[in-house]
Amino acid sequence: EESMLEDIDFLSVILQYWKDHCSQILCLRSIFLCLDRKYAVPSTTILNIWDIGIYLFKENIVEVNIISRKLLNGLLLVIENERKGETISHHEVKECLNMLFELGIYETYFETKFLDETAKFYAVECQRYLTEYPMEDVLDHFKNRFVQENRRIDSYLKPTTRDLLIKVVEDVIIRNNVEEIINKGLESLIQNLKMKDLQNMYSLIKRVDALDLLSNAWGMYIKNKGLQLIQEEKSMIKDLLYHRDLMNEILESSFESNPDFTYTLKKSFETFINMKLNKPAELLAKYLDSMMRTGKTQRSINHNDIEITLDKIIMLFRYMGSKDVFEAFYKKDLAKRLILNKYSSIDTEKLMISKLKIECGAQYTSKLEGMFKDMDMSEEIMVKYKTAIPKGIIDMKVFVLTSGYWPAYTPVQANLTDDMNRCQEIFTDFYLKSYNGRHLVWQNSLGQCLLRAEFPKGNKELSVSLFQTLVFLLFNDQDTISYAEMREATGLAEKELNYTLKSLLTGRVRLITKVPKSKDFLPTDIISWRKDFGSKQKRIKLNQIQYMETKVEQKKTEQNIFRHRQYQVDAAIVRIMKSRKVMPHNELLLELYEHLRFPCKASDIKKRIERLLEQRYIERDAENNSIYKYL
Amino acid sequence: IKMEAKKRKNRQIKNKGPIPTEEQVLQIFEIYCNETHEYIGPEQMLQFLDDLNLDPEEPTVLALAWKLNASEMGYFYQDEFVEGMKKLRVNDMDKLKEIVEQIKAALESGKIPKKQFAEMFEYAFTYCIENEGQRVLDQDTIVALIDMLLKGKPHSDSFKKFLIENNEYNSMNIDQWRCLLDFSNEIALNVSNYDPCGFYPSIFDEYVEYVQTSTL
Repeated sequence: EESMLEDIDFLSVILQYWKDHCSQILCLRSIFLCLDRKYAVPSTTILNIWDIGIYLFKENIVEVNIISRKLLNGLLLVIENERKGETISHHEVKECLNMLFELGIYETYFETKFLDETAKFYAVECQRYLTEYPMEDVLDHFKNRFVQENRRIDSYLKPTTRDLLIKVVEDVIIRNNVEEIINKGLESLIQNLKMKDLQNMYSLIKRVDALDLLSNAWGMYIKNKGLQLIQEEKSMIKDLLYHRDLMNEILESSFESNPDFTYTLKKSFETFINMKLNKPAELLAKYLDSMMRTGKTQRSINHNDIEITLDKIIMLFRYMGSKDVFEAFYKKDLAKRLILNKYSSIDTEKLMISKLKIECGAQYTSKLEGMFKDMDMSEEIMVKYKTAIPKGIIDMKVFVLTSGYWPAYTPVQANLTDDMNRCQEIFTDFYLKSYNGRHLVWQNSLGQCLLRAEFPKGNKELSVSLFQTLVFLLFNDQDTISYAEMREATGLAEKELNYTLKSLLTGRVRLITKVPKSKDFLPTDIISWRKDFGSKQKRIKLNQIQYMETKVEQKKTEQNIFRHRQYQVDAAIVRIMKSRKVMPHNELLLELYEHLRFPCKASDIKKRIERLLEQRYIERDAENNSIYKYL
Repeated sequence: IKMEAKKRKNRQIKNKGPIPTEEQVLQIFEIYCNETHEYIGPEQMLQFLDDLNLDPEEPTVLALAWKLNASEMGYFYQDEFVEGMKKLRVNDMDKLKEIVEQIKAALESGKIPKKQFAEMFEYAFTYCIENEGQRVLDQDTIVALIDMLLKGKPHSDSFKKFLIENNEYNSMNIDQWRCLLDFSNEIALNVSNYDPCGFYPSIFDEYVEYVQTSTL
């Protein structure tokens, strides 16, 4: 302690000597000015007085061992103390360093040792900080150190030292610790939404050109978190939207929207989303459906928010490989929304279509747009129909759907009432008069009715499906009816009738009852209407079943998608083989992966190849089973 | 060069023997053919093979059928027989016996050129097809063919077991059959070198899984 203090005090001592020496030499020089200037300065062999003075000082004072040691220690100690937080005399240190500079030994005597000590000091400090403090504080501290060192240079070090000093500090503090910083800090900072600290991390790592390490680690985090999120089907889309939002914010506010990081974000999302193959696309379509249809959620969202949400949905959609899955489910749900009048805003619907069009091109959305055209056409047709036939037997509104645009519906067998049949006939005649050559097929499963029901406790208006209507109408003639008779009268297949009855027997509002109350349906079951029914509501909606998706429907959609994909694979194989004529198996696979717009497993492609081999579109080469030839 | 080629040609012919005349071949045919002189049929076949010291089950019979390019199993039609025997340079029964012995030896020693064996292997499949438009051979036929042609090869036993135990694959089409030969020759017994993304039809993916799960 004592010797340390001594060393520090020594600085002022030696400075005093130096000052005295300098003034003395200057004095001497001015005395011998003539001699110095005319004789010594121009000469190459003789030193001038000033230089001699410097040399003598150096030799006899500074470079004397004990003085040298004390001086250096003093300087280094003083700087170390300042780093530890003490205040020191900048002036003194600066003068000393100037002296060393004049003596020509600044770099060799001081600078090298100084940089060494700096490295040692920071190495120790880093270790301590990394183990003892939370990462936010560590990063902050490191950031401050750089500010301090720069100030140090401005205050008393020589400017030439700047680059070397900063490099040493960067190496010791950051370069040696990059991995530890990232491993320890990245995940927790992200999870705790510490944007500023992430920005610190970014700038520090940027100094040592190690951003690719950070980018990779960030990519890994995105992927791992993403993989977790896609395991939960119920919350998948909501979670993914949030995840993307957060990552994007980090990218913009902490990572300076660096293009490499932007690319990492994209790639990571693409990778993990497509690990679940088709599910995310399907769930995204369903999420969109719940957003688009009427309901409580609608009223709380204003227009701007909707557009922003749609944009975010499109961004997720962009990452997905199974875009055809999205289209199939979206189309199915859109059709239902349009036909059953369940959409909350036609403008929002059209907005979504236009966004999809920008994203995927006109071909992708042409059918969807066709659906909207059909809706408009149907309005026009209805106007003409009402003028031609002002008073029909039943007040009827018809949607005419062009079969290519809409999901495939199969007509379902049912015995409509005579009046209904007559109405359909009249409309068909009317329509075919204007559109000769077309073929109309009635899709009764999509029909809806508004029924006026007279209950003893009050008349009601029932919003029901067509099949539900057929059931209800039977009670016009009788109060009870057996299941078998009902089946006969309605003409509905068992599955269809059961489904319809279930919706009426187990819904919130029950207008009919069954005896016995069992879940199954037997021909002998008796169904009756509830004479004692009463409700505060005038209008009762019962046709939610038409909106719900049955397992059968889901399966059908999936099957259609996969069948369509099979066609595409077959067509692609034939196209490729036709142009190349001969192709090895592995090359064919590679070409297909490039061509196909959806993810496909090698085993699925193999099965298509086998079919084409069987159908003699292609054959194997006689000499080599792994090469195919076009036939 | 022309002289060399001619010499070579002469040498070849000498080794094989002279091309038989139609009568010579028909003589042999007449010994065994049916009443209408159209073919040697199943009833006559036994005697024919017996005279050649051949068991109806052995692969040599299949090879002989292949050499004659017989179209229907159990039958040697006159034109096939005549053409085939001419190609083999058979002018009498002794010569035929000699040729049959050669074929037998070649099969037993396994020293048949790869291409030829592959041809015969594929031929065996079409040979067993009984009905017009039939594309697959049933399990029993396949098992019999494997016994005949892939005896002792690494996968023969386990593949037979796989066919019997598996529910989805219990018949094979000609493409799968063709690849079976390659598979037998190329793929290790522990299926370590099998690539599911490779050109082998899906039945082999299933078989490899079968092998892997049954050795666990």
